[in-house]
Amino acid sequence: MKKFKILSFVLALLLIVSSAMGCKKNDESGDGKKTYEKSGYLLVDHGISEYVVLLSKNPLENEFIAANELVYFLEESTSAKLSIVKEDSYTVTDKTSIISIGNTAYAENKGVKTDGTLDRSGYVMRTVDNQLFIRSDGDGLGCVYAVYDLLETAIGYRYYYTDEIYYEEKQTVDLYKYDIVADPDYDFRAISTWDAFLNANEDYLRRTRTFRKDENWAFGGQMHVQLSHDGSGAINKDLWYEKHKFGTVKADGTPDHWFSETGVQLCWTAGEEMYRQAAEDIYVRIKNEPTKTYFGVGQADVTLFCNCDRCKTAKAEWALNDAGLQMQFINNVAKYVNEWVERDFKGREIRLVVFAYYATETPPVKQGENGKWVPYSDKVVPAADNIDFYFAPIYTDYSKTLTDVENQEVYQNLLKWKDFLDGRKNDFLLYTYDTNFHHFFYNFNNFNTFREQAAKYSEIGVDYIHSQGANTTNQPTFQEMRYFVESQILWDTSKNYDDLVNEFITHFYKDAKEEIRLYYDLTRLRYEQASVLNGVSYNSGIYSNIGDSKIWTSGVVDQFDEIFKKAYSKIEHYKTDDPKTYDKLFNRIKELELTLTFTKLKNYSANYTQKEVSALVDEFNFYVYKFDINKEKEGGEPTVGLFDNLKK
Amino acid sequence: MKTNSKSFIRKLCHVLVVSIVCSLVSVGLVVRGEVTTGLSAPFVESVRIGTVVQIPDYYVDKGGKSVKATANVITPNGRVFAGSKFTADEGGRYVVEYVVDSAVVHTEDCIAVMGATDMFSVNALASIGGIADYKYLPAGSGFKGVAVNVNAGSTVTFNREIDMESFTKDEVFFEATVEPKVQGEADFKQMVITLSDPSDSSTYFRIKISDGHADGGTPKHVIFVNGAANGQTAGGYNYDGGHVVWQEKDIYGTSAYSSFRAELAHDGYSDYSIKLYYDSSEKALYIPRRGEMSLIVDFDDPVVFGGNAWSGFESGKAIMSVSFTEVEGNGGRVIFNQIAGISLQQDLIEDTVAPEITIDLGKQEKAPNSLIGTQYKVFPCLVYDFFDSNVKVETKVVYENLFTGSKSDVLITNGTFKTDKLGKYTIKYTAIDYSGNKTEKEISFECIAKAEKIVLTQVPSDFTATVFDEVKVTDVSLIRAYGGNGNLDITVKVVDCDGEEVEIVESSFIPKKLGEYRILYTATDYYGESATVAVKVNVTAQEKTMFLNGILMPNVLVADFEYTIPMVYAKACSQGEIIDCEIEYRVNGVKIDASRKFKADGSVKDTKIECLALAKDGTVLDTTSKDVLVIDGKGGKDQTAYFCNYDGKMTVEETMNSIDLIASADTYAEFANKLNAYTFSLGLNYLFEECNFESFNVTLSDVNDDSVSLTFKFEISENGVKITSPYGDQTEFPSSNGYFKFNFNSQSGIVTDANNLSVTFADKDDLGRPFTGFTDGIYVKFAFREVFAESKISLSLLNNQSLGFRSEFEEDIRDVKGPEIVVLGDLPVRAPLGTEITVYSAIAYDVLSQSLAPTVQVQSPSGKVVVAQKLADRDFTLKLDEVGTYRIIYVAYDTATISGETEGNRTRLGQIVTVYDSVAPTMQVEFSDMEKTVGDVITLPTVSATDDSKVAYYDVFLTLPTSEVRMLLHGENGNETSYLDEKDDNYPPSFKVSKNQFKLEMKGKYVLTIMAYDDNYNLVMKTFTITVK
Repeated sequence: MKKFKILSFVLALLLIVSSAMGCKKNDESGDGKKTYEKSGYLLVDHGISEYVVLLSKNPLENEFIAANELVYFLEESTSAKLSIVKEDSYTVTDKTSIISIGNTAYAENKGVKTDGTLDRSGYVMRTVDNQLFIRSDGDGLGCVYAVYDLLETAIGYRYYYTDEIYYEEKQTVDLYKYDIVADPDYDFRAISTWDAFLNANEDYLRRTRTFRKDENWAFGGQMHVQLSHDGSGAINKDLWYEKHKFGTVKADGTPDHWFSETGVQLCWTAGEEMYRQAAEDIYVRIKNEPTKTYFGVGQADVTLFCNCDRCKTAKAEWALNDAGLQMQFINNVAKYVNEWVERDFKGREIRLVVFAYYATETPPVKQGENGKWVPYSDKVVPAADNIDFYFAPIYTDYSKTLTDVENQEVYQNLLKWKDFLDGRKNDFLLYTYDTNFHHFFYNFNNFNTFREQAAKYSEIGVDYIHSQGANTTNQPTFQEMRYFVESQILWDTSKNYDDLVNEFITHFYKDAKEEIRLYYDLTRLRYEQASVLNGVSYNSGIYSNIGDSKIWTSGVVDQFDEIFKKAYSKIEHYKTDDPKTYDKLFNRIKELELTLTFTKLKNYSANYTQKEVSALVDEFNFYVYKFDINKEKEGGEPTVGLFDNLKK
Repeated sequence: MKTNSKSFIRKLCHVLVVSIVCSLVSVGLVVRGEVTTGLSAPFVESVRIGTVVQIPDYYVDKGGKSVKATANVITPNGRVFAGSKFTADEGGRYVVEYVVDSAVVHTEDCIAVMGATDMFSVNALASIGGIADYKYLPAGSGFKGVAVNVNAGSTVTFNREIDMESFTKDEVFFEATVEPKVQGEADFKQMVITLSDPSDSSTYFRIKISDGHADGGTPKHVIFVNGAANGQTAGGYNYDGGHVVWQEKDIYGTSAYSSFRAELAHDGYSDYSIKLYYDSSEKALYIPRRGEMSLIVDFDDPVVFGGNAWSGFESGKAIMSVSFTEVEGNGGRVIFNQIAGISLQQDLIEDTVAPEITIDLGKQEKAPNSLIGTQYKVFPCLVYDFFDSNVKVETKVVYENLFTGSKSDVLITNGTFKTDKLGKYTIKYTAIDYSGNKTEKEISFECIAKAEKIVLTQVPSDFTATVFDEVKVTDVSLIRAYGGNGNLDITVKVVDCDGEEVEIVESSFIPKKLGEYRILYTATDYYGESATVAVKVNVTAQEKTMFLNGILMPNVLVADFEYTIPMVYAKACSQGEIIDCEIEYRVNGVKIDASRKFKADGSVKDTKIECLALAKDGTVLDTTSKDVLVIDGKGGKDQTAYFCNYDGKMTVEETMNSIDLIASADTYAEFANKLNAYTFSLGLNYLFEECNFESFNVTLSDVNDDSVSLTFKFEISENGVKITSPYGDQTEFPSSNGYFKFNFNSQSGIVTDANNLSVTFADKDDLGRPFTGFTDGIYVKFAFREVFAESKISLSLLNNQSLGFRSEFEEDIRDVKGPEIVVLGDLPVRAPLGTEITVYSAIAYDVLSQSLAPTVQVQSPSGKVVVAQKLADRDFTLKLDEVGTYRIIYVAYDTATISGETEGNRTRLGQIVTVYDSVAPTMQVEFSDMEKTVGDVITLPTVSATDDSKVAYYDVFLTLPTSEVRMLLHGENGNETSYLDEKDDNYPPSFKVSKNQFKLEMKGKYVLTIMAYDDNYNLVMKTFTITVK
């Protein structure tokens, strides 16, 4: 798998760089932050900088962005504005104070190189005397990330949210002795919350080092497109259903159906004619989406897989399970697609992605020698390197670690896939979840385990993660904090979740930090407490009943009410001291409080006078609209007006 | 908006022509001998936003060699980068500079324009399918537009701010075509369009368009449309069957011949698309039906929506979003044909309309001149551009020397600039949208050395007035002023001889002191400079008396009821001095005591109430009086007596079930007793053939101010009843079999029917003033108007009192109904222990008898009476010091006693307040922060918790370094359950050592949290940190 290859490369590179440069080993301070030895040179000296940012003659857009971000934040912090120069118009000598970003000829000459195999997010950053070099491969994105790491050590830069960026204000900034070959735990990191998907802006994604979930994907990364009607899937049901619906037979009486009994899934044993047709449809998509790499083949978002005699027999003889049937299907489809792509789009990288989801979560394996899992038969071995697997363990309990007894099945499947793909070039992508789709107003309790699960997947070799949140709506459930913490952890899974939470709350909620931390802690404790005492696992599948009034009892609501009152009182002084900050903090707290307002209206409206209920409804309508909290649950009614019936 | 549309189309043609021309232009590469120069390929002229643009190479001849130039791209917002391609991710002009040896040798540019599809955004559950034809017709037949594929939960947003203030019902506001997968079938049930104010989220209206056949019976070519704004109940006028009916039920509303199922009617009136028309001035939505424009809903109609009539979008703008309900599993498809005057049939739409700039001058008509050396504020401006919501506005100020004509720029700092030179200043606003469309607007003024003095003219001369006589004040509109800078604001006030301001009411005041009053007219300019002119009024004495208020008594008194004459005040001018007079109160010539109470004497039909103003020596200076009718209702046995008619043109008869009012000509009857001021109910019965009048009017008037009244006019026809409130529109009043019930809530102003559904609304009183409610009680009057033959209306209910004798036995006929109690405030439903709440005062009203003052009693949860029969005439506070349910019971009696009883009819009104414990338990725990090593075992601390409520719980949680939370122990009044027990399978065996011990298995920070709480979840927590090395 790709991950293993990259890791070994990085290890080798590290050794080379260390020995070649004889660099000081980076240390970690007690708080987990990396510290570096000072170089003796100053990037900024009492508000003045002799440094210029050196770009190549034809810099990549990301290299240009990296330079701009560096100059912008250094100026914000120190008032020193560094110039950006291109090396064709600027003379550099060994004495020149430069920060070289990207593939400059000067960096090449100085021997600061990569061999072109760094992950897209990775970078090399090295100090040589008074000069700093940053390089990456591919589209130069790694240089941008290097700059953020540089800013973090230089001026304490931290990006919490679009309107909350921290950096120290200082006059003098040291140049440290960097000697880094960075390789994040995940090279692709997507957390598709509202902010990162429908409400995304490029700064936010870049500065949190995350991607849109559909980057490089055809058709928005949709995986439920197998039977699309508009030609965006594998088989156009409109064209083929009547001719090949379940029960159709050929002249010789043999089955000729392409669809399952219910018509919502494909019959993966339909045969060559269907495989070729699917390949033709996919080929059209490839042609129509000339810039895309990933093409989801997927399956319908239901469990109604084909159970015809043909499929049953195949499972018994060579497929073992639905994943085995799917493997044979995609192998046959890929055969055509790859042949035509090679013929018509030579050199273009195309990846065909199938789901490991519902019935296909378990790979078609049997236990071989030494207990290792091996393909169940030759027919289920991936026949092409560009068949990828999108593992979506929908039944995971997100309040438990992957190795917990509750998640044994998921974990075992993961281990099986690891063995199944060992030594192959097929990518294993992770599609995990970040919300409860029936309860958008309540906190999805993956706080306790996000880091562990991410670390475990990474450890096994997953390099691509998409954590699906409620991307159709904002939520009042610490979304800004989740995004900050999760994006940090996906970069480096050794970071401590709790420390990141504290850091975020301190900067984001400021004077109300203690109350918001208490609210956060009590929420987590209450899930555990209610689960244990009520004997019901409210933790925390994506459809668990986490809105249950047995969790959010009237007493719990009263306690939260008091916490929020105290939080507001803590920021009260800003009303006169700094009205803008007051508004900002008030809105942040109010957004969180909507969970409480929702609970009051949904479960406890009888506890309030009619006037109070009407005021709560008005407040709810106003703020859900203001904060883009559009839906109570997946497919639910619009939130504005949800409780209007309580107004009289 | 049509203008825009045409303009866009014109421009679109231009773009298309340019594209065609472009394709005909040959590649500009020139070959001279061995050297190739010029562009390697034509550069595009226009592209759609989001397109990746390949930059052609450019070659120059350099010393006989062909040299490729470096291409630098300059984006519309000024970013510069080099490369061979770029993504046109913003609208506007992109310039490519070709550079050789640091010199620009050639430039090219192209414009990025918006695509129709770019104006839409969708959530993850929908996808935009580009510009598409309607599949059930041949291409080009119509209904082309932006196709969107939708699923359950899809939201489609038209993300341009729509100017909502200029639409009329002559132009299409919205057109969409539903394209089902299969003709005759519907893929979803409803399309919901929401338009909301971008600057005020609580302002919106919503239109629901439903598949008519979803009900299983309506034809497939029919849709229903209804609408509602800001929490209104959605509805639409239905025109089927010849009657216009307001329809709020289910999917229904206004029917129209369009289809969710690609089905047409056969009469030629139907269409595939759905067209909606919005009229901005009416705030109403229309749809064509059989060639005629039909009203769906008028959002600001108070008749339909009562107090919730919609006032429109405050910003004048709206954002449109569309969602879908009951979408079939395979989704559906909608083609948006046009929105807000923008045709969506072509993809490339170039923005050629410049932004609009509106300079906000506040109250000024033009920019006021400035005084030399002063700071001048740059007037704010509003900019609107349909395509560009982020238009940049540049402001600059130019100074012009009027003598030399020379001009110079002026520095603006923090929105102001200094006008330090005499001459002309011009503030110039320039707005440029992303497509480069520019609008300039400017406003000028002069800087002068000294402002002209402010002078007021046409001010009246000084004059003389007499004390207590009304003095007219000339209105400011008749006063003239000039000078100063900017508009002059003229105000007037009156001060008395002591310098105290005197209230001016309806352009006059009454002087109550002797001496010089002054009427002060002040003119104030933009800078606050002002000038004042005083008109002196010499107020002189005169031997006269002035009653400051009248005798506020009902027109009718009920025999044996006790009444109190309200205080009357009088001043007299005696021997050149003003004195306060003593008042003597008399009823029928008999002086009454200081309490001013008297009982109405039924034997004296016309009672005279007199107030005598006395001099210090007891001399009567003046007298005011009022004659009042006294009726005898015999304690409710004769209900007809309460309906007082003064002209003999009305007969009042009592039947078993009603009081019948029979009129032979225009006349009225007044109900004698004071009634509930907060809610009023009246049950009416009629036979149409007995309704020989134009209208039957019900007037409610305030007992404390009879100028505040509301007259509701009822018109009865064969088709039913219609009601008109003061200055309101006529509306249908639901009736059944000649019966209707009229309810009026004076706090909300809403009229409801027998089912408590809103019918109409009163926001103005009979004098056209804003109606804000009644004070203490109302009187009611029933009038027949334009009677053309004998007419009869039967009243069966008045507030809580059934009318009619209701019994066949004489001895049973009497008032048996208790009073109505109105509590003047809201008690909380729940409150924490120890809270002090306000128990509000109450008023009671009785229809046929007199209501005695209500009392209130409070019973604590333990049954203790903590407040006993206290007169509820004022608010008081109550401390809630017991957990449980407090019962607060108001009791009122009326005066209707019969022999042998001492108390009249009773009414009890109970309210409950649940008091909960809000005090957390106390907890004792011995533990402390510590440092340990991996493998160490921790013994849980002993915890004890006590609570006032007798039940105290405690739980012990452990947060692992991984952030995982584990609950280890639960205690309840000393009984503990451990989840560390080996039988418990919550946690791994390696972690569990014993019931009260666990093992530290990893490095990092463990947090032990101990929480004690009670049944109300009042809690106390302690946390301890175990640092594991």
